[in-house]
Amino acid sequence: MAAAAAEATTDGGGKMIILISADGKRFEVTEAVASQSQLISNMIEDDCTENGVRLPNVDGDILTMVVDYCNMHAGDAAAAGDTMKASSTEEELKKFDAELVQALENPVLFKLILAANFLNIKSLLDMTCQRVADMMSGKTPEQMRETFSIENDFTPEEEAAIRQENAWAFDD
Amino acid sequence: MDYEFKTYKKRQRGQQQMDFELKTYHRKRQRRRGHQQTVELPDEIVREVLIWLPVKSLARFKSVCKAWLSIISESCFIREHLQCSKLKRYWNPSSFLITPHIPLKPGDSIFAAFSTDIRFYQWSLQEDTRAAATLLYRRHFPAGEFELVLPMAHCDGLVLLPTKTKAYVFNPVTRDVLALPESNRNMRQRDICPPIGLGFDASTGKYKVA
Repeated sequence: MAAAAAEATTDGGGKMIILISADGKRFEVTEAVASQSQLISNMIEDDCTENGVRLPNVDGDILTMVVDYCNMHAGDAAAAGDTMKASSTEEELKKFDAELVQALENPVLFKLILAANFLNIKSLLDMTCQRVADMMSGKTPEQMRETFSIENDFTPEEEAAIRQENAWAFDD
Repeated sequence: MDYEFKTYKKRQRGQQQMDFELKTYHRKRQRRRGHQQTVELPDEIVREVLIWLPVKSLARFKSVCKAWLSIISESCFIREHLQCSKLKRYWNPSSFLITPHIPLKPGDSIFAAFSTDIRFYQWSLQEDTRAAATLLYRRHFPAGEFELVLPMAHCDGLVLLPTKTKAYVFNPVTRDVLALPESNRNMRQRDICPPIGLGFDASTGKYKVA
């Protein structure tokens, strides 16, 4: 507990951490920024970030987005009780978040979800999952199978029965 | 001592997670080698995505595949989905459920006979859709099945419709309706029906009518 508090106060001028993507790109961020990732936060507590943190399943372009997101949101977590730091306003954050995911198409968005999950950044995971859900909501089961590369493992009879049960959901 | 133990536990958890993710990652990679454009999401992440979908989409996606059907039908998924929807409604109130009491004859008072045509409307609060009430679900009971419709109760999107004879529980979003077994509650007083309520019993995880 005491250790965590000490880290929070050194925010800004605090220690830097190097994140290394799968393709070897290096990102230098403050501990406050990086520790929004629960995974890295645990590593910081365990003192094993000295030689940089290798993230073997996050590509550089995806990590760029993650780091941008964390930089933008660093105020959130740290400034909860500390209004000293003039962090981005809520509105700015919303706009930033919307723009970050708006432009992304499937393969990239999915990779970002996997990265958020791996790094354990709950807010980014929620936001990206919500974005995918928004894109899915009006689609048909066939389109879903295509998007998620899923094989239909129902027999035609089984599928017909389930559709029949939920026939109302196929209106419009 | 305590601190060390905590860190150790945390490290273990982090490590386990990393191992798991790496394994999943390698498995997916192997399966999809040569298909650079497709990224597959493991089931536990598909679940995270499905949580955000409206009920209608979920009902449709039950027919995608067996894995999705089982995720969507799980009782703990349903509970989490409810919590998630409640949270969304709280931050962004978007609609109300309206159930009009329709008298059989126009102009009759609310104590007169009611139509057995029960309708649920969704009244949207979005500014851009001004004619906002849309019919969500309509259930037409046989004429004379009940006459007096009493004030309704609701809980988590379920609607209790007490009538002078029977009580019904609706889930207007999934188009489900349940007629409760008849009880002797209405026999005691011929004209005044005793109050009836609907609530969630957290200790058993069930909804109860009393």
